[in-house]
Amino acid sequence: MPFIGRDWRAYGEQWTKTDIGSWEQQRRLSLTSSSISLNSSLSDVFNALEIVNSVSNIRRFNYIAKVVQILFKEKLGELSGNAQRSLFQVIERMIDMVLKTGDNISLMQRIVTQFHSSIQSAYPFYYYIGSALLWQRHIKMLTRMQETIKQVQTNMITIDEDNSKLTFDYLPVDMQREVIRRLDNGTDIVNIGMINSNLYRVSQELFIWRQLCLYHFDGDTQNSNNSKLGEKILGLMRKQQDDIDTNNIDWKTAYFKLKRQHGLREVYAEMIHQCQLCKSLFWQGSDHSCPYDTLSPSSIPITPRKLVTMLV
Amino acid sequence: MAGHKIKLQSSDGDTFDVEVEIAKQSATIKTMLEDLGMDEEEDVIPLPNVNSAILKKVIQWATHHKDDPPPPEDDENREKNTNDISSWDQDFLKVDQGTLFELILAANYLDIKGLLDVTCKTVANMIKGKTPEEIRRTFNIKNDFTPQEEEQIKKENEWCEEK
Repeated sequence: MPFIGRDWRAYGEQWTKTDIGSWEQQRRLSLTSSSISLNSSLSDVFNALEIVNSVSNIRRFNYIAKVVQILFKEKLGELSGNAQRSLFQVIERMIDMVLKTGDNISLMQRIVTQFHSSIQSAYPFYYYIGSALLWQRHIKMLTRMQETIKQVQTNMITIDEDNSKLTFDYLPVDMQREVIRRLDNGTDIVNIGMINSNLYRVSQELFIWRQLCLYHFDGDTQNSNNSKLGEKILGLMRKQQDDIDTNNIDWKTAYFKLKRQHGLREVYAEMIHQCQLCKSLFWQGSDHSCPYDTLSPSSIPITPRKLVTMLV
Repeated sequence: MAGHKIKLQSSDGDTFDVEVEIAKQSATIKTMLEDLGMDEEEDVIPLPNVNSAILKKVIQWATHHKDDPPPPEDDENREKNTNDISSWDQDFLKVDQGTLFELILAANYLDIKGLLDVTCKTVANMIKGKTPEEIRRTFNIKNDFTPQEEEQIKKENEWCEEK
């Protein structure tokens, strides 16, 4: 008789401790390309990947924000009741997180506002799953969220007026530059330059903009030591303008020109990966115990857009 | 070598016993030890730019990160990935702004790349997506532009955002 069950000599099952102290078995999510939409609904996948809890992890926040944005911008008409509920759960949790840390407030506001208007514009909701009443309720909920965020924004962290403490504009210029060069969006750099004259000077430095251009538009070529300029970026710039004086480039102008045409690079601290062997989805940073662990495991990153197409 | 300790002295006179391997994450201390041959146990390294509250935090950070692999050379792609902060570091940096900036200064003075990186990223995250007015409020910075100057800078940057 063939042996059907698990070999009794196999490893035991893996149990992990949850936040509340109980134990649960590791959930495994298998998506083979053909049966995705049949087997796992969006809410199942969200549960298995712990999307809701992951929001409080800053490394995963932006990835999830992007998934949420794609969902409500493009897929709203295809979301089941359960999926809608998951989506709102995630957004609520994101707002909690934003209120707690004070970071990403405007991103969150943008998300809620866009979501709000994209529902509203679809009145009377013929294309959506669920009743008109349900969608009215969604709108109400988003309005409430918008108000919460606005309130936080207006009485945002007014720091105690204790002048003995070190503040950002008293840091040496070198340190301010260290902070500013970590910003990956030119708009943020422009904005920080509008704060005061000191920071304006730092924000105008060519070096910062040059680095930003190389980061976004020079592909994956690693010439970060700046010894020679990436060929790719020069090519892109030549397409826009014929004569380029390579010794005298206005990198700030170049950045915004290139951005308009090519868009910015999307980088996430942590992405969802798909195992190439068992097709499981898992967070890059979490352990993936592949059932085919005799072969060398390999996985590919799944962009937010790809994840959404897999799910909806 | 393990367990071999040196003494670090903060600006306000407190001394801390630190394992050499941990202290050497600071390139400044490392050079001091190597160039000056300060390896006798009695020697005290004075750090006149760091007070004891901050030095304590720095040592705590360095102790946690003592087994980290050395960071890749000048990897700018990681530099801009400001959300890439480990959860331990996130908790470690839940401090008031004054402390955060003091840590930046200390990390710079002691030349600890990893610490400088996470602290700067944390500040960068506080800036991201905010309007100038919101940034000013977050950091309690005064606007020193005249209305004309402000107008001019606005105009200068206007074209950036047009689609």
